[in-house]
Amino acid sequence: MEKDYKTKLQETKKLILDATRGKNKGRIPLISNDRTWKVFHAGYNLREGLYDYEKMEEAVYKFHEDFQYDAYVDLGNRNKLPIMDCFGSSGYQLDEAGELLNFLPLPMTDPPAKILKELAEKGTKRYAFENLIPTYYGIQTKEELAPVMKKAAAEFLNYSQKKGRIVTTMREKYGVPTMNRGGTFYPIELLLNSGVLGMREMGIAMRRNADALADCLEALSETWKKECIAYLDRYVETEDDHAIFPYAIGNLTHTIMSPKQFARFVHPYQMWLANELKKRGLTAYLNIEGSMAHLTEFYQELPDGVFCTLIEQDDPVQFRKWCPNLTLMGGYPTSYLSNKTPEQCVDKAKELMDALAGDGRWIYSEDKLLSYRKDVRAENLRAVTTYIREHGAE
Amino acid sequence: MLSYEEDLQYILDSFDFMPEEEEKRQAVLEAILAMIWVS
Repeated sequence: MEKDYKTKLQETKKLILDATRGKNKGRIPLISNDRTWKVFHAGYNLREGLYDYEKMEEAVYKFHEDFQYDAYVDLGNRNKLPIMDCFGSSGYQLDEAGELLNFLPLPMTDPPAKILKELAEKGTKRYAFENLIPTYYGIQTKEELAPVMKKAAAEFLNYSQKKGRIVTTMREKYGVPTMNRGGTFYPIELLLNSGVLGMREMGIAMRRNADALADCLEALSETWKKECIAYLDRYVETEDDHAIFPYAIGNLTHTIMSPKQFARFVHPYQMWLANELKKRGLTAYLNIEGSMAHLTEFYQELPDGVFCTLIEQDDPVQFRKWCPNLTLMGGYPTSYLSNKTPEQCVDKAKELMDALAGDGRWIYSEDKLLSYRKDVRAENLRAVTTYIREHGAE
Repeated sequence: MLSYEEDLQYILDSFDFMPEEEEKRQAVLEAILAMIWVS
């Protein structure tokens, strides 16, 4: 019995890694880009799914049993909202009916120049402790912080235990590997993702405080590079038998950058990490949000066979032409899954398969995170995933 | 005013449900700080 799940897991890993390296001669792999639609599919609303670990767990297993993807970008990660709620705000806003989840930006009120200078001096841990906690949550003293942090730590352990159970069950019952063991962000992504600089403030900083921003990124990158090297060396030494990739790498800031800004603030860090991965014979999952069409020259420089690349708004056929060095994950229009008939959805799958699968470097996935009730009709998703699974080797 | 250097141990000492696990206490605290950075 044990051998069965291990064999299936290793076969799946090999399939996805072969596709990433441009060596896949087998069928088209399927990776789900679902985040929270599975909660609705299991009969719950977001409030129930995100605040009840057992309901999320049930949703993860039902989603897999019904659609049989090879791997999943999410196995209940959004359940960490209760941890951040201990501070008084999760950073998200959930509507009354439990149907909509919005990001709740908590931008810093200091001018960008002051933020960048302090962050460069303090580093991320100290800055979060001394600046973000007081500003975001109004906690000013250690006596106020201790009970809040204690509650958050207990919730974190609870989350980790429940998340661990999902990962173990997916592995040992279903033979499904986890997508990535860890994750990382290029230094500039931390600023935007945390809301330390919002979209507007980041835009201003890139124009008016460009040198301070570059200095801050360079200072942050010292620790970031050390942590990446330690992590990747450990990953190689302790061969992971259930994660496909060492890293998921989130990319969002490029959506508000010119090529010149990208060349200065992102590309050097992107190339550095790509080369560290390549040196060790490793691959990674690169999540490119929005569009990268204006930055193709930089993505073309990434080493061949290292990245499994999820795209959102770009045309997948164009992407294959722009970046033959990157394995494409995604491109299936979610608008079909929500609005068309099963037959129309399958026709679209055939069309994409004909256009993209020839060189073995296409992994089926959706062009946006499946998040809300109306993002998908279950019969459409079933028709598409069944078709790709059954016909993806022809 | 919070000070990472001066107040860290006070916060870690409050994690009394994780006795005798200083490294784990620190790792959990750092994981929570990382969640503040990227939710």
